[in-house]
Amino acid sequence: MRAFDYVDATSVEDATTFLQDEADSALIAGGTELLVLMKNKVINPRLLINVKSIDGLHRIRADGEGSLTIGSVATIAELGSDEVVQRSFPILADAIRVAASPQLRNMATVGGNLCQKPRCWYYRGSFDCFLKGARGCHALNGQNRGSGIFGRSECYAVNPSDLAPPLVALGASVVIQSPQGRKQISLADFFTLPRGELLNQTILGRDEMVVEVRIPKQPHRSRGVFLKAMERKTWSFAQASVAMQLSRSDDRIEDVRIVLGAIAPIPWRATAAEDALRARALTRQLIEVASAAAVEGAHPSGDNRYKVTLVRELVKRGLSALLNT
Amino acid sequence: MPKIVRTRVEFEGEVRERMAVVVEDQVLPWSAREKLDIVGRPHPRVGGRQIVTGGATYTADVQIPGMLHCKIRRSPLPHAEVLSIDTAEAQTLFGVRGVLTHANAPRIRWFGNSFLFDRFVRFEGDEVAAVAADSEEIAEDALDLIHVRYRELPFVVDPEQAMKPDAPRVHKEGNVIGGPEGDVYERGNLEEGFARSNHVFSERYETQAAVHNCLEPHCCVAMWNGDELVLWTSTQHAYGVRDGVAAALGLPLHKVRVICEFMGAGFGSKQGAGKHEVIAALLAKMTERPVRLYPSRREENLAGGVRHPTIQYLRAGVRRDGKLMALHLRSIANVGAYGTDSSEVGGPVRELYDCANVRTEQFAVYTNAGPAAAFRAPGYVEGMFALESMMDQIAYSLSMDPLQLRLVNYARKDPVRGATYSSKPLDEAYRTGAKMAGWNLRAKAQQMGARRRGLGMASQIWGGGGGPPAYAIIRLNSDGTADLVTGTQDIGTGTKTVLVQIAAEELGLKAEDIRITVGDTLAGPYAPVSAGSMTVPSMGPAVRAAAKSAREELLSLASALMQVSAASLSIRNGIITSTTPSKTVAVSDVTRRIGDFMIVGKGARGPNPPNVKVRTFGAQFAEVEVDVETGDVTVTRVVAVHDFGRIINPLTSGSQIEGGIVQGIGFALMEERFVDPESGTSLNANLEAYKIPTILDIPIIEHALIDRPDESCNSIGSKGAGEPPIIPTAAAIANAVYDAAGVRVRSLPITREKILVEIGKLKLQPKPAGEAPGPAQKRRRPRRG
Ligand SMILES: Cc1cc2nc3c(=O)[nH]c(=O)nc-3n(C[C@H](O)[C@H](O)[C@H](O)COP(=O)(O)OP(=O)(O)OC[C@H]3O[C@@H](n4cnc5c(N)ncnc54)[C@H](O)[C@@H]3O)c2cc1C
Repeated sequence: MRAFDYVDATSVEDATTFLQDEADSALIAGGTELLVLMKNKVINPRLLINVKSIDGLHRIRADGEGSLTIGSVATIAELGSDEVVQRSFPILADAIRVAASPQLRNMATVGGNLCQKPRCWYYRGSFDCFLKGARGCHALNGQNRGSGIFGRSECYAVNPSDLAPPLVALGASVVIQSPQGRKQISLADFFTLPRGELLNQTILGRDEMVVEVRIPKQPHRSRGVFLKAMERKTWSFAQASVAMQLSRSDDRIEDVRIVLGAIAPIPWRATAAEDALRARALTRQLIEVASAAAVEGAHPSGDNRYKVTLVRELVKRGLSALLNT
Repeated sequence: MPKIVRTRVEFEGEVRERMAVVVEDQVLPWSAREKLDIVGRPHPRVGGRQIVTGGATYTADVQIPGMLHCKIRRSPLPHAEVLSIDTAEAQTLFGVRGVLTHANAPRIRWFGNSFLFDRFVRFEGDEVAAVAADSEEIAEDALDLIHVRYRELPFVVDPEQAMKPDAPRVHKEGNVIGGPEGDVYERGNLEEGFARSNHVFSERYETQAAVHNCLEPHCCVAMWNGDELVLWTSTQHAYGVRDGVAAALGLPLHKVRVICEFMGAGFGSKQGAGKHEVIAALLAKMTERPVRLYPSRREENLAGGVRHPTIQYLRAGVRRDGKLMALHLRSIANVGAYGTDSSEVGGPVRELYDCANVRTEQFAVYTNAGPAAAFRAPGYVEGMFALESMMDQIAYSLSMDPLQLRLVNYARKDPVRGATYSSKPLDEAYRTGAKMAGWNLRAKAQQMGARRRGLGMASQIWGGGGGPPAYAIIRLNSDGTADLVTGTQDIGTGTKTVLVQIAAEELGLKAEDIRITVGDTLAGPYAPVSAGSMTVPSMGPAVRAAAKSAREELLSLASALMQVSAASLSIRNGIITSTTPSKTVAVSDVTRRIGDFMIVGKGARGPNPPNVKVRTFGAQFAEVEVDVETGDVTVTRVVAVHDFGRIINPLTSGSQIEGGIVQGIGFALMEERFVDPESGTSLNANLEAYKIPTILDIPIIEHALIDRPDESCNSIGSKGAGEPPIIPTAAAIANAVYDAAGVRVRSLPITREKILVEIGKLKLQPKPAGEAPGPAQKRRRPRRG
């Protein structure tokens, strides 16, 4: 790790001003991701700006009407044990329960989780690749069992976050601030395929930071499921995951969001599956149709072929679990 | 009186005849009926409290005033010639005290024909330079300021590619160790055997590079006291390090002292002097400061060793009744850039079953991957996976009970030399294990939706007889306590505990009245490497002999003091009792009265019995659940029954079984070092991407021990327990996966990817008829609550 300077930000404005003033800087929250990248010399910022010191930014607030605002430095553990999350957004609590390890969840923050870099072994190793400003992708012909099967761009690395799929499925939005001001965008739009000049999986600009995440009230009789497949029973990133949230009226499906994790550079909306389900009653046959639709257009590149089967099965299982609720 | 004998010592599957000086073992073996007070009972771990409270001094805890920190610059390339190294900038960094490269290091030979710092680097991680600095951080920063120019050379990481005549050469001598014929063993007439078979099976198996992942890396602290070197190090062989480092530095043996009081595992990767110890010693000499070297997990996983990855082509011929007629194995072990050919992959094929016609061809091949090192039962874990997968396949295609097939081919005598076994209760292990696991009640592919349950089994054979030379000394203190001193080391297995138990039993003292010193070449006499499951069967008898000699001296003095004959005296619990006349006296009374006259008992391990084969045996049964839609595999239960002769301490032997099975589950299902074929570099040299089992991956482990003294093998009747438990685990799991899901994965680890690929193939073909084993179909297994 290279030597660096360190400041405690006192406010969001303070933090973004530091970001603007020092081009070679990075925000640090829990540090569970940033410090690993620094130790491996993947990134070498000169200045670290601590955002955990910002007053009130760790708060999780329910407005009493069914929506929730999560400060970006709230830890994942805090979020997972929040009563409103457990009661109203159980898919988020389920995802947190199987994310990382208890020690990591105590340190890791929500903002850091959404801004984490891909786990691609080549990106994290000493290889030059697209995400580091070079050309080409080593995973394409190399070790690619973790690579994506959707949303192929110049980079095949998947988004590793377990929080993103359920949050997108819940229709969450994110508040971003820069020295120029604040904006709120949907979390789905926060993620983007890396391409062209953009060497990142989010649209976050150099001097921007995530301030909070907002989850809206869910429709009446809304139900969800989160499922994650790993290489071992715990403490492992997803090989594939699915978060789905679905509401019905008169047994017809109204709102439905199915978001696939770890199979694309962004949380991937299975829109074809959603279309197949919308305005219909959930039946065994429909589940077959929808789960097949979820993997339509998948283009595995080699050792990641199993992800197609896996995702289809996870979607099928998720929907089957909702069949009788 | 010491005498020179020839004795046969088996080490990690290889039998070596060697000369040994032994003191004829006058100690009669404890008989099976002997009533023992301390041996055979659960005894809490000596030093256990220190370990769990952080009080134990591991190598990393050694702090010496003025101590420097060493970091090693390693090759980023799999194969290159070092053209130049410019250390000028690194030397000027504040806090840097010394830099070592091939330019200023003595030309010390290492790994055959290469050098400590060689002009050629042969894998990503090979040592290029070393820095000693005031802190680890400074040393690390200095590494970046060393400028190395390389000429890149063609490399090869695939062992089958490496065997081709035009492959890049890792070493001048060629890539196949010992020449292109490999290491051949043959008995009977293979072709005749196949001709007389009703069925011939032929399969390719593959096992992966698994990293040892010792909790404690290959670390050391080197300090010079004048012209004497003191080396604290994490090792499986303190004396081996002493000899190796002394040879490398040209020092007489009495100028090197090696200390390893507590140790955080080796699993085979720390069997002798390593480059790191010599580098630390050289830098300590250069800087006139103590030097500590502590590799990162990444360095450890790049350069600390791996289990030899293997490719195995196994052909088996069987008669209709299941009798094995011929076995032919061609195995290729990838030793990496510098590994040794110590991996006896063909061991199980040669010696597990009674088969008249056998040929094994073992190849050990250099590649530009990180070096392989012995890893807990090297060769046998890999070979057993292939052989026992094959036996299972044969059983299913003959519609035979897999266990029955093993009994049909049971070897009553050692099939290699025809020798009788000192004991072989493998049949008993099969029976007991089958009963515990509910083998006869199993039903094929029990279904719970997509989740299928299956049961599989595999056998274990391994050495573990130990042998000379091994020595121990016991001194009695004036208060009746005793010091037991040996040059062995406790690598985390509980050696201290069992040796104290043996000494206490023989001496008649309470265990808490005996202190043991291990891991200091200055304190204790020679002891062998703690590998090959040989510590207890080698050291135990030596300790017992030392205790016996001390006891006899104590009793002869007591008899004079008590005015009774020594023959009528015995000691238990620190009390000396005479039968006629009936009298008692405390040991401490005797020692107090003789004052500071010190009773010193010396003991040596006697020779191994001639003409018998000492082996350990066992069987494991694994129960798994396979989700045939998602490819998830869950091991739900493992039953293990092993024979290690007499059990000294059921707690420590139980730990070995559980640890072996945990490591075996990792090997079976998830562990794998990946080397990128394009760049020849390691992709997952860390503990995030390289998966080892978590507690949630570990099922209920039920184990039973045969616990019958092997009276002919040595005076304590014990055989080693360290390696056997990992041998059958992967094979048993693979067989259980087949029983559950109907797919046979012949390459480890059995990942979700491989299961889904095999299940995908299965869906394309109609199910072959008659695949189920005979007796199991009818009865359903009762539900367990
Ligand atoms: C061994 C291991 C296993 C893991 N397993 C999982 C898993 O199973 N599932 C999962 O989802 N995650 C997993 N993680 C990732 C973990 O959840 C993230 O490391 C963590 O959430 C990051 O949060 P942090 O606060 O520590 O971020 P930091 O390390 O502090 O920061 C991470 C990145 O986010 C940026 N950042 C931080 N806060 C903000 C903000 N408010 N605005 C803008 N940018 C910001 C930083 O600049 C940095 O680039 C694992 C991590 C490890 C090390």
